[in-house]
Amino acid sequence: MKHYYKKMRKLILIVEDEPISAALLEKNLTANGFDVFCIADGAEVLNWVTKNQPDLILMDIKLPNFDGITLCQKIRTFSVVPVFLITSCIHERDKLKGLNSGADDYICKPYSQDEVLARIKAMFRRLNRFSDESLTIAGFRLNKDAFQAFYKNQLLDLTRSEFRILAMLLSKENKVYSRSMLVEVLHDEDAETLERAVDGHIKNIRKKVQQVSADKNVIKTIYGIGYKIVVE
Amino acid sequence: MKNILVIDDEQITRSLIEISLKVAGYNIHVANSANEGLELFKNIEFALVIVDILMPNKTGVDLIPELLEIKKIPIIAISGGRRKAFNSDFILDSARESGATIGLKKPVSPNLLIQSVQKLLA
Repeated sequence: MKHYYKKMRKLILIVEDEPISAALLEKNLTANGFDVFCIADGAEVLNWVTKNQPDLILMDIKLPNFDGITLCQKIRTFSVVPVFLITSCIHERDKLKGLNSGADDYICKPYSQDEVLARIKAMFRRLNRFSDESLTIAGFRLNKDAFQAFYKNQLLDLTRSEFRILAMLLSKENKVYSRSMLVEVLHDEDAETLERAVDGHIKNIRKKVQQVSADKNVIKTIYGIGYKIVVE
Repeated sequence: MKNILVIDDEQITRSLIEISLKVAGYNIHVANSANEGLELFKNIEFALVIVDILMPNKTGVDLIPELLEIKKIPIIAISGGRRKAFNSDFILDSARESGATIGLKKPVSPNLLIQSVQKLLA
């Protein structure tokens, strides 16, 4: 039942120890149709995220007890929820550290409420573009909430990145996706290895599908361009 | 008739305060942002200002010292009392530290607001 509720209103967790900043974010996001919960102490975050499965997390880097980067790394061990880090640090080195910890975006202080809202909406648009949870195409069925992919009703043991790539390929029948388009969904991986990583992920998806149906090659390589799903 | 400036980004709160204080005999000017309020404050002689704390772009905590630097007058800070984020007492404490004379929780009761204004302008 929880998922049905979550489809109506997205739940956003704000992790911020500065009361006025937290309250302003809460006011802005609530006014724009989101459910919001705020936590000031980093030590409470992991437990809350496990229990409540938010749709997005906005997290200040400097927190009591845990820093945002450590928390983000810990969240990534069990969840793919989008995480935005908020910080006053403006050095590229700090931004890269945050993004490499598994964060999906980085918001620098001082930020405007409109900017935060626009970034959150953009993230949800991006996720929706390739993750229709009821999608059934070419024998595949996806459950985006659980990050599960089924082929001929058998669960495929995909990694998070493999799932994202498969979801993108399935989002439009017969569309050829270039490596750079597929890279777009691997936003939490190291940028330099992304394009090469796509080929590896495709190879793994094929292998896992063939464990269900040995003679099937459901992903066709379009030489010089990229990949597409084979719809029979 | 004394002029009172109300600065709040929430239209419904502005209207409620405006109606309550007009009935009590005050002349009310409203602004929907800190910067708009600051401009009015520079150009009109006010006896008192009511400032919301949680406003985008510039908060009441940042605005109050700017107002007081132009003219020392009583300031009532108001803030959402039903916020889940933090107890609004903490937010109103920050407002008082920044120079607000008193702090009131939203939704502000018209009677309490009129009493507070009358006391400060007595």
